[in-house]
Amino acid sequence: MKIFCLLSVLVLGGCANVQPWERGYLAKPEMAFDPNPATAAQMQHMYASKEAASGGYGVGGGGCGCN
Amino acid sequence: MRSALHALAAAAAALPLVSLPVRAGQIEEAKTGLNLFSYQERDGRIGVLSPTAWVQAPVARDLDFEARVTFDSVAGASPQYVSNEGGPVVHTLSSASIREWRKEGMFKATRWLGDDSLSLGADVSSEHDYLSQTLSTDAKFEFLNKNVTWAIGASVTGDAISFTGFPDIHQRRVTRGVFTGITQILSPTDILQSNLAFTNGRGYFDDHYEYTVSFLGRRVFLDRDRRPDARHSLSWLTRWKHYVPALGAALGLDYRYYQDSWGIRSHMSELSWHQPLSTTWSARPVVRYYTQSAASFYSTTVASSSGVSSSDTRLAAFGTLTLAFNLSARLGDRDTFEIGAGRYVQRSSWRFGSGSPDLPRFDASYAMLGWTRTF
Repeated sequence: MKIFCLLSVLVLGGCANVQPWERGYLAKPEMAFDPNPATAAQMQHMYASKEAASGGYGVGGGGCGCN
Repeated sequence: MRSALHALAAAAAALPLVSLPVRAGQIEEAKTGLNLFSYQERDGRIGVLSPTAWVQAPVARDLDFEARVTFDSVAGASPQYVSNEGGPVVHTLSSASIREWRKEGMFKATRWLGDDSLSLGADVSSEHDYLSQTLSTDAKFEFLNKNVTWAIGASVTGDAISFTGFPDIHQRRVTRGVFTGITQILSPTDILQSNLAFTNGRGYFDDHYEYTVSFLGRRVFLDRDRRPDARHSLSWLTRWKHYVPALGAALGLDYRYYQDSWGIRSHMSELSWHQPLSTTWSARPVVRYYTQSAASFYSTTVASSSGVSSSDTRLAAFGTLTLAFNLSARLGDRDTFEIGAGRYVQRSSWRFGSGSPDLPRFDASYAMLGWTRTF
């Protein structure tokens, strides 16, 4: 656990301890990284067909003849 | 003592009622949706109409399920060759109008083991000359009173490539990927995610439909697209969301660094603002900037001596800008409608540093309609 916290500090800058009752704002729909999964997938597909770079959003995702 | 208990009870009663996921990332409500995505490049180039249906639902107490089906209808003219016949290098579109279809289906099942989870997923994308099949798995672990989620994953993609007009030619490519990421709550209004992804691809990467023509005096050289038979990449994506209580809005900032064994380096940054306008409406403007360097073998003439050469514009050096605006309306407790539009512009001169010369201007626009029902 300590090692993980240390990694977290190095990568993300700190181990905050926000209690469950303090997470109301974080639970709002506006705070979702991708509000609509289908829209996010379509946008990533469009960018991947026109640019050389892709990835970083997670595992999976099919290849395509468009790139 | 009694007054202290009263004060505590009063304070608890004053807390806002919020719906918090019991476990980060868990699907708590069944949702299904339909999306219609329309994409059109300027000057009569490619146009795509893409309907998508998706569902995500808890199918048992410790089991979630997600699935998505997409059907792309592609029409228009695609880039075919690069030539300097008239003097300057010109990217020429195919004279024939193409019409193609692509079908994609994916599913993912997630089993919860206490606060941790294990997922298995599959994705299949099929075109008349291209079949891509992916298997993936990932695991998520909660730490530090659920302030930190650590994700690891792996995937393997097998692509089968054939060519219109050459029924006996079949090529293959296999890409393996590994992924790790940390999502951390930084404060009651901030959350940060940082992901590292590596891919290792081996096999056929050429674009058999593209070629380069060079006129040197009276001599004419023609070469088809030839690329290395391996590609390794690293993507480092970091996303930050910040809630602004005074405005009831959320700021999003994404940054991704990418590099690969073909010599391409890219930076992507995206800024979004999610602003509820009323209890029904919310708006989300997005600005995205992307820049990439050229592949080491990118060339608009045949004069490459390395054996690999490609004039594919996607391997050139350029910068892009995307401006988008999404509007969503929540009607009742169950239905959300979304409408959005955006413009995507690519320019050689917008790259940090210098872009590839002779790269044509590229403009595209898109629009989307979406409907989501929560059960």
